[in-house]
Amino acid sequence: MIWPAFKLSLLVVTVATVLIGVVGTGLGYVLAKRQFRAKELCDAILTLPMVLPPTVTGYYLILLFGRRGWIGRYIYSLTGWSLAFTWQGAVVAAGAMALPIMVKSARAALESVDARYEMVSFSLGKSELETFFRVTLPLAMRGLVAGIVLSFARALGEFGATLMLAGNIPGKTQTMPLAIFEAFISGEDRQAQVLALILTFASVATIYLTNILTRSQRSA
Amino acid sequence: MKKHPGQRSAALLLSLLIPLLLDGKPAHPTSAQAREIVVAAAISLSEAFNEIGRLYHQRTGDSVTFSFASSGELEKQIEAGAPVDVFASAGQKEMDQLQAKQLIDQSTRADFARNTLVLVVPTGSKAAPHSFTELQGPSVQRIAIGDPKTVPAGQYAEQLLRNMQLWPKVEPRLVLALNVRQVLDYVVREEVEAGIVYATDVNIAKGKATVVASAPDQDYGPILYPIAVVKDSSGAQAARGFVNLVRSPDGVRILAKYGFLAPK
Amino acid sequence: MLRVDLKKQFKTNGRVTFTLDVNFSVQQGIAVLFGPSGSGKTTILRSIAGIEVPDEGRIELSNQVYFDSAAGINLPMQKRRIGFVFQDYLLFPHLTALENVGYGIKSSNGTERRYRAGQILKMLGIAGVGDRYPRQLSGGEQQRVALARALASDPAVVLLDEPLSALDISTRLRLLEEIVDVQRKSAIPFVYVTHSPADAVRAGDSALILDSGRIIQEGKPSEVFNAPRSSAVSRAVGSENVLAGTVHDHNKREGISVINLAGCQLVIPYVVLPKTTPVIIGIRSDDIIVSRERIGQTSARNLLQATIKQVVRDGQEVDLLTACGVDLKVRITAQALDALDLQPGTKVYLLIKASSCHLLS
Repeated sequence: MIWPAFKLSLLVVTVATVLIGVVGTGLGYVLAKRQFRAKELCDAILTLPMVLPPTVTGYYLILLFGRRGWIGRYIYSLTGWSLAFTWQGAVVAAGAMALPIMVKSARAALESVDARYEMVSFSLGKSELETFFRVTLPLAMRGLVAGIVLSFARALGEFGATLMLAGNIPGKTQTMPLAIFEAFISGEDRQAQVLALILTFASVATIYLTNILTRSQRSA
Repeated sequence: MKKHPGQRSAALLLSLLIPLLLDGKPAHPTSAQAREIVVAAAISLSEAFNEIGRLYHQRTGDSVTFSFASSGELEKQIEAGAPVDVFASAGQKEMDQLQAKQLIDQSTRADFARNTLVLVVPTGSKAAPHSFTELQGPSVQRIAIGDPKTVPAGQYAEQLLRNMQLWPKVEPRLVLALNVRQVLDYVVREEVEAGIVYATDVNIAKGKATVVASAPDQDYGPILYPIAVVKDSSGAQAARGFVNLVRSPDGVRILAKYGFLAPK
Repeated sequence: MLRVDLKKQFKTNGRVTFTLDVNFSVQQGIAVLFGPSGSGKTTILRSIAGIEVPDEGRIELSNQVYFDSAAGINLPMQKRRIGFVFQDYLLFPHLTALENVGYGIKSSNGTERRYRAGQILKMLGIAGVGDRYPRQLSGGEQQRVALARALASDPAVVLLDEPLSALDISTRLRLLEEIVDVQRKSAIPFVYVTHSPADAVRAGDSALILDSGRIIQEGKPSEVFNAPRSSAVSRAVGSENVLAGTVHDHNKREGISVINLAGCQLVIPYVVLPKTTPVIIGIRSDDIIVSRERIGQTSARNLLQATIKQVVRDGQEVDLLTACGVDLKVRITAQALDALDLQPGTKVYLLIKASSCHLLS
C-alpha cells in the first residue's frame, strides 16, 4: 500500500504542481497587471477553494466533471472517458485546491516587480511577451517558486476533494493521504505510521524551503 | 424596606441563570428521567433503524442518536473509545474484533437480520450489463463495490466475484466506495456502469437504480447482521432495551418492511 | 529631425490645473528642456517615448510619424527608435552591466551582441565593469551604463530625464562633459531635461524654457539665461547669469584667478584648477552695479564696458540686458533706471566684485 501510494502521490502532485504553476502564474499576471471591472470578483472566485471546506469544493468538482457533470458529460460523449476515478481526476482535485495559493503568491510576486522595469524594456524595443520572460519573470522568480513550493505541499496533503472526485482506489487514485485514512480504519497501524512519517517529512522540507526562499531579498 | 436597585438586577440575573445551570444532563440519571443512547449501525440499516428508534422513543421516552457508516469505520471508532452504547454490524468480522478486545457485552450479542447481494445498474442505462457474468464485457468500464478492507458489503462482493471466477477480469475495473450507500450513489449518478449492493439498499434509490441480477448467498454468505451492547456503556439498561426491541416481533416486522430477511 | 507638437491637460480632482502646449523641433546636438518641477518637461519626454499619450498633436522622428491625434496614429513604445536615460537609471538588477547594455541590441547572435555592448562600454570609459551587477556599481558608473544601454538600442534620438540629479557635484561635472562628448561622437540628437542652469549652459546647444506648460523662450543657452526676453522668462531661469568659460590664469598671492569668457575676462576668487579647465561662473543679476561713468578707484575687481540691448520691466524692478562680449543681465530698481536715464543703446560700465562671481561647477 505504501509504495503504490507514494508513487501515485508523486505523479499526481508533480503534474498538478506543474499545471497550476503555469496557470497560476498566468492568472496572477492578469490580476497583477491588468485593470478590469470584475477584477476583485475574479480574485474572490479564485480564492474560493482555499476558503470552502474541501468537501464542498469536491462536490462542485463532481458537478463539473462527473460523468453527468456540466463539463464531464461532453468529455464523456466525445471520448467515452470520464475524469472521475482516475489519477487525472486526482490531479484536477489537487490542482483546484492548490490553485488559490499559487494565484495569490504569483500575483503578489508579480506586483512586487517595479512596473518601471517593464517600461524600460518596452523602450528598448521588447514586446510584452518578451518583457514578461526576460524581465518580469526573473525578478518575480523568488516569490513564484515560494508559491510553487506551497502549492506542492497543499496538493500533497489533499484529501477531501480527491476522495470525492477520484475515489480511493489503491494503485489508481489512492494517494498517500487517502492511504493513511484507509490504513487507519482497517487497523494497519504500521502502514499508517510510515505514511504519516513520509508526509510529515515532506511538509517540514516544504516549510524549510519556503523560509529560505522568502527570506529578505538581496537583489531586486 | 426599599430594595437597592443593584440588588434587584442581581436577583433578576440569578433567576435567569439558574434554569440554565440546572439544564445539564446529570451523569447518572435516575430511571425517572429521559435518557439518550448512541447506536452505531451499518449504513444499510439506516432507514429500518431510524424507524425502530422512533418506536423506541415512543415506548420508553428515551431518545436514540444514530451513527451510520461502514461497519469497519464504526468498529475502529469504538476501539478508539467512542461513546457508543449499541453496535449493529453488517459483518461478523467486525463484531468478532470487538469481542476479542472485550469491548462488547457478549451476553447481549445476537444475529438479528439477514441480507443478500444484488447487481444494480443505472435505470435506463444502455451500456449496462444484464448479469454478473456480463461484468466482463468491454462496455463495462467501472464497477462499484464497497472497499473490502472496511465495508462488509465489499467483502461479500469480492467473495462472490471470486467464487464466480470473475475476479481477475473484473478487479482492474473496480471502484471502491467508503460504504455500501456510496456504491449506490455512484450507480445512481452513472459514474459507474454497475454496482453490487444489498437487496435492501435498492429502494433507497427511488427507481434510479435497477436490479439486474441477484446472487444466492451460498456463493458469499450468509450475510448475517450481529448486534450487541458495548461494554462500559453508560446507559447499559436502556441499551439492552433497544437491542431487545430490535429482536422483538415489532423489530422484525420493521426490518422485514425494508427487505431484511430473518436470521437463519 | 525630431518634431514635437503636443497638447495635454493636467487635472487634479477633475479640474484642469494647467495645459501643456508646446511646439518645437530638434535637428542635431543637445536640446535642453529647462523649467521648474511640474512644468511639464518630463511629460514631453514621456510623450516622445510613448509612455504617455498627449491629448492632441503630432510627434514625428526621422520622417516617421510616432503620434498623430488627427490621423489616429499612436505608435507603441517598442516601435519607436528612442533611447531613454531615466532619472534613477532603472538598470535591470538581475542582469550584469554588459547584459543590460546588450538588452536592446537587435541581433540574434549572442557573441555579436556581447561584442557591440562591450564596444559601447569602452566608448563610455567603463569597459571593465561589464561583469558586475548594478548594485555593485557606483552612481557614476550606473549612469554611464544607463546611457550605454540607451545608445546600444540604435536610437534616432536620446532622451535624458535629469540624469545627473542623483550624483555629487564632481561626478556630475565629469559626466556632463562625457555626455556632451558622446553626443558629438554619435551624432544623434539628445533631448536633455534639467532644472540646473549650469547643466543647460554647459551642455546645451539650444535651450527651451518651459513655464506653465508653454515654451517661453528658445535659443542658445547663454542667451536665454543671461538675456531673458521677458520677466516671465527671467523668473523661470532665475536671477543668475550663467557664464561658460575657461581658466586662464592665477595670482595666488593676490588670491584671484582669471577666467576667459567669450569676449571678456572675469576676475574671481582663487580656484585650484589647472589652466584651460572649463568652468561655469554664476553672477547674480542684482550683484552687478551699473555706472554711466568709468569709475577708476573702486574695490570691485571687475570693470566691464557694456551696451544696453533691452530693458525688461518687472514691477518695481528692471532687468537690463547688456552685451559686453557676453550677455549679462543686470537687475536694478525702476527709480535707478529713471535716475540714470538708461535706455537701449546706452553705453554703461558694470562693476562686479570678484566675490560676486562664484563657480557653479
